[in-house]
Amino acid sequence: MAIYSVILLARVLVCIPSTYDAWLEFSQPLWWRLATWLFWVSLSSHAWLGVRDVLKDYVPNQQMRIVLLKLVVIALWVYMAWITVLLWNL
Amino acid sequence: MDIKNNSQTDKAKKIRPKNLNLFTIRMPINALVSILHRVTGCALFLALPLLLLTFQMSVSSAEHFLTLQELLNSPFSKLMLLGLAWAFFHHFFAGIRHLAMDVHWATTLIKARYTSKMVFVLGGIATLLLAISWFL
Repeated sequence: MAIYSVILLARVLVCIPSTYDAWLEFSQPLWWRLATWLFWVSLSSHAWLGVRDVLKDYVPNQQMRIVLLKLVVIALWVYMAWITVLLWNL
Repeated sequence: MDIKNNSQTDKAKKIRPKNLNLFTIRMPINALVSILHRVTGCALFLALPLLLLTFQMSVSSAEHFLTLQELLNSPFSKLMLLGLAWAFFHHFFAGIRHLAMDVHWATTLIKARYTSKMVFVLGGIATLLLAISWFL
């Protein structure tokens, strides 16, 4: 994820996409969409671990915690589906 | 084997001192980096649907892209984005610091304090550079 962020930064610095066409051109290459998708896969597991730890630490009531954890899981899967559709249709 | 009387242990639990006043708890620099790493992580997590919505809007059509551009160019949104950007930078650099410590690099107290300062400095510089590029 760190490497992706650095590459993203470098790409943007080289030529800032300031128009819609430039932005599409920036986002469409297959290698870039694959890299973005993989970034989101890592992001999902990374976010899951982080939020799970936070909920474990601050929600002592077990039922409430389980409910919140399930909501987080659902949210992350929704994000994964969302980004997959977005990148596919680019 | 002694079976402790439950009421005795309950009483012991009740008289333990408890201080949850965050403003009186000493926060050394390493602790600050650590708790901010957690806080920024939560903030970034909550920003995820916004990020996805923004991306979706940006690629949907040229008109949406222009609307988005105008929205994001206002000083207010730039300020909000700077806050979010700092959250990202801090989380990023604190994360790298975590990874470094995982491979047993800079694990002594003095070195750890140094890397904590580096996290704040680098986060600050990155945010400052972004601010300069946006406001000047």
